[in-house]
Amino acid sequence: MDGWIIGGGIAAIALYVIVVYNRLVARRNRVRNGWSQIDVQLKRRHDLIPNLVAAVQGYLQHERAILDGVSRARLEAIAAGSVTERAKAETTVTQALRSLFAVAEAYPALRASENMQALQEELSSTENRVGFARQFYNDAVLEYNTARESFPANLVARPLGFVPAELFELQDQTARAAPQVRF
Amino acid sequence: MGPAGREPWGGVPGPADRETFFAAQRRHRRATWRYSATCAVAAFVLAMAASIVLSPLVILSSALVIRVLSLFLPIPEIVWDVFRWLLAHYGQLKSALQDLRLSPEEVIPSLQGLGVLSIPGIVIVLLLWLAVRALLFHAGVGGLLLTMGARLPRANDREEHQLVNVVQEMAIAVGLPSPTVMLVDADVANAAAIGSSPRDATVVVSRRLLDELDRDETQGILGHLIASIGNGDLRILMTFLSVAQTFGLLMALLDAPMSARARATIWRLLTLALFGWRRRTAAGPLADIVGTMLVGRLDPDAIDDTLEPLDATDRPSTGRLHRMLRYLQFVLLLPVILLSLEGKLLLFLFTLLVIGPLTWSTLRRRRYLADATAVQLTRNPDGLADGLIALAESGGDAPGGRWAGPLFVVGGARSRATGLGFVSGRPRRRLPSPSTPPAHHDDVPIFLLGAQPPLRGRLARLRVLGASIQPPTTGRTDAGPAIPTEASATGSSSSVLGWFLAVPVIGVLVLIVGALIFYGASFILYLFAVGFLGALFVIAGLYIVAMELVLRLLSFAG
Repeated sequence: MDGWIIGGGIAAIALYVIVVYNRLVARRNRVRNGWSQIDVQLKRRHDLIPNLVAAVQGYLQHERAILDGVSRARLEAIAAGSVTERAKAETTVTQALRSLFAVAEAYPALRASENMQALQEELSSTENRVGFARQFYNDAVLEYNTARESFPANLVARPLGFVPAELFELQDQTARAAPQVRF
Repeated sequence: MGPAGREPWGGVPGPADRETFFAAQRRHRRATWRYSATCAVAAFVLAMAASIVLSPLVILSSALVIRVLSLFLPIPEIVWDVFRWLLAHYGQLKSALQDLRLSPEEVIPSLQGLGVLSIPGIVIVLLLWLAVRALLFHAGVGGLLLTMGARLPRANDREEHQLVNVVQEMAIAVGLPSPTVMLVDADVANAAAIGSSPRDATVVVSRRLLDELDRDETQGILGHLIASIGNGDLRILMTFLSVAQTFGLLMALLDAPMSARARATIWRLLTLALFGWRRRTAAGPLADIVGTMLVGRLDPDAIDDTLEPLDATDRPSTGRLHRMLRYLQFVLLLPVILLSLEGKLLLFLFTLLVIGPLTWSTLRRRRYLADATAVQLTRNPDGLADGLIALAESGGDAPGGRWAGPLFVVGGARSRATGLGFVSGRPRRRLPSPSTPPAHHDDVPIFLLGAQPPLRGRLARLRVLGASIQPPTTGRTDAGPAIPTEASATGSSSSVLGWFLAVPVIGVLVLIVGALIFYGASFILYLFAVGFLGALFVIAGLYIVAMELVLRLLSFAG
């Protein structure tokens, strides 16, 4: 009789561990999927920047500093490694782009050119996509971390190999991005 | 991914929802099974309503067929057993009806008798529904795209490219593969999400919507559509449309003895279902058929098909003999015509009172849900609200898409008219409305009457969610173009009232014919006294007529 109870208890625990494992795996895969989606969109932005720089080079000959800033930020973003590093590098790219567009506003010929308008639309769409992908990823991370840290799943999560995921936070400090417009 | 060492509330982007987006989406998708089951219940109710007229006919015709076959082939005993069983139940019903005084112990058996006799009709209608549903799921989407004349976006058009970008952005937000985008060059601004599953969905947008709405508003509207795809609404809508098409098919069947057009439609549907449905080219013919079935037959005013034999006599070119033959045909068909009118009336009543409220509330709730999900995703209630305000005036039924009205983001004139007068929080530039109003009827088919929520309700809910729009003041300053179909909307509702009043007249007429055949004068006097229950007695009369004929046919009287 005791044997049956112990055996049943072990079976129940094993079943529970299986269920928790599957649930955590599903959520972790969604996190990974979300991250790869962010990756795709960020890469899309990196690929658009050279086109942008080439398009505005002719008009913005006196704004070399800003153009160089954009290219440099892009290279750093490509080279970044961990989540936090990438978040910081991408924030820098966003700020650089924002100052570039702010300056471009002062050149009506540039603003009117079709090429520039198409690029602006593409970049703004990419910003939106990055934003939505980030939202998706952060929601996925939230769900995964909550599932991982809840009791009693947290007892088995670490032994099974589930590490916490990081949120992807882009600091939105508009104050710092105020452009210096020279007359 | 490195270790987490920081507090989760220090810089978490977005609101800290108690329920994550995915959990909510999972919950909504699970609920779609419940809502689809509601549509199945609606189909069952429809089957019950139709079987009241269909069952006696089915039993009668199968008895006829069996009788004829029994002259050539031996019929297995089980067939005779089935008929005996049916007739036994008829016996219970008959005895209850004959004295017209239902003693308490007779109620249950007579209801049981009625129930059993209805089974053939119910089974047949349910089979029809499943067939129509399969056909629609397989070829309905392609068909709708064909009849609307949808095209792929042009590569060099900036606005259409922007539309594709917007759709892909929203697909990323919802976590779905991006749906196909197609455009329609129509004069009305509307958009729809069509498909049978989130994996192969298509979004159809009219060109006018692109021209009228700016990027934020387009994003709101498309966010709504893609959010509804993510919530699993496609399945519910297609199931609902399949019930609506079954309704249309029943209407066509009721018209078939009289109307050549109904017969042609049914014949085309039959050949398509039996021989053509696997082919990729099934889409076009199917869309034509379902478009005619649902749209052409449901207006209570348009009983033209039922009275087609009479119409033919009005033409001045018909010769005298031809005209005499037509009159004769009309007289011979008169009982069938009355029966068909009665059947249609029953179906209308069931739709308005039972099926409609059951299914329309589901569809409306899902629209409100899609609105809320879109706001949650875009964090911008103003975009969607302003888009809906713009669509209140320039929206409408896309040509070729009337039968699929519930799939569109805004509905017909009636639901849109409630949204006029709302003022958006941002100044907008509007395209001038066309000099002639778009030439479409905009009478919503009766089965789709309440499927779209009133715009006023949606805008009020968006206001609660934070949109900065103002409801109309009592004296509407922004008059807007007069929706020309308001009058016809009230017109069709008054004709429905006319149908309600016609019930006792028709019922009494048909039953007089039946009663005269079998029961003599005293019965008629009794019926006159309870004439307002005419419909119920029509049912009884129908069963009596049919089953008596079956009795005679199969000589079970002895």
